[in-house]
Amino acid sequence: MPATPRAVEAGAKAEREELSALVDQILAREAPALRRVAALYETDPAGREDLFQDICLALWLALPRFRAEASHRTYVFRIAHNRGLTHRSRRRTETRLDPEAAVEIADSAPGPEARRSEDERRRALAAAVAALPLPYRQVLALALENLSHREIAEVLGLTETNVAVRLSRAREKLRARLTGRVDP
Amino acid sequence: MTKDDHDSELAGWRADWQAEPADRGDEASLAALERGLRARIRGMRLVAACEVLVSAGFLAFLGWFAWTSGSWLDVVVMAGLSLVNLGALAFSWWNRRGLWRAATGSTRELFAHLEKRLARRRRGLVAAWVLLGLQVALFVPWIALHLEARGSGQPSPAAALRAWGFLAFWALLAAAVLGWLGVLARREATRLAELGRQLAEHDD
Repeated sequence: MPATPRAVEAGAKAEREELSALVDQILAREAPALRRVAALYETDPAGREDLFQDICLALWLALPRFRAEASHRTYVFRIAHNRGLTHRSRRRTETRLDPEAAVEIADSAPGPEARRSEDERRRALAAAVAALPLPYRQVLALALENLSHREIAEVLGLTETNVAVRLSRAREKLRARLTGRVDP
Repeated sequence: MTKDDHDSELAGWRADWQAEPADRGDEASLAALERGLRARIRGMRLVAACEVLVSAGFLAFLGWFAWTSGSWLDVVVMAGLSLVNLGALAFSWWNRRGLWRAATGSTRELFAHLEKRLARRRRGLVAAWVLLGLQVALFVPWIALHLEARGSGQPSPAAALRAWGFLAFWALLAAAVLGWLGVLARREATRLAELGRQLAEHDD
């Protein structure tokens, strides 16, 4: 028996509510991670907030098409990084953070590293990661979000071997930047 | 560095990376974020609806002009303009696909998609220049014939100035817009090339 218009409308409404609940759930869980992704592709604070909103909008539009071939997290990060890359491709000028500035932030607090506040360490790490070349930045940022090599490979379209090699090189560069040594 | 040192280093970085920032004052609440997103979606739909309304109004005007003029040349020119208008609307909607539908492939797939889209946009711009040329080529004899048909002898200078001035104004405006779109496309091509270089540089 074909569905009545009222039943179709009720079904569509239930789907919208389910989608809205799913978006709420994902944003509540992943909003901090999505902000960190935005910070990888945009250094200007106002632009970063715009990019974060763009990412959330892209998620909203893409979630109805989610099929279970990937995990939710992989899907979310894939959309976020793609939006970031699209944003990068449209920006007029590249204002990548100067690696020297990353070291200055890292060195700015007096005293040994143990006494540095958690917030200062977070800022120094974020600045150093943002200063890495893009392919290393992407791989490292995903690893820092607890994604496995397989999941990172899915997000970026690489093999797991590629991911392992890039991650290893990214960690070397990050270590060098955080300790103020010459960039390998 | 041992494997354990490596893992504890990564664990330490993870803890710092995922730590909540001290200055959370500027972060919008979830409810405000969702309101903002809904407003943006409504805005996108409103812009699309306005485009359709303006196009429909323009098509209606062209249809009325062709119907009331009675001249075959008018009908041909108005039909040509209608097709151009519909083509422009379709192109605008097609070109906006990236905003309506989020990219869900891998980063590599996205990059290939961005390159393809830019190539299509540049081809579209070439087509737009050709169409502009065709429209001017259509309008020139149309205006000349209309001016001749207004009365016996030479058309008045004022009427000629109005007619040719109207054509020149819209043609130059269209050329300026297409020129600017070409500049934007070239800039995007440069940025995409640089992005591609960076992504390929570290390919293993």
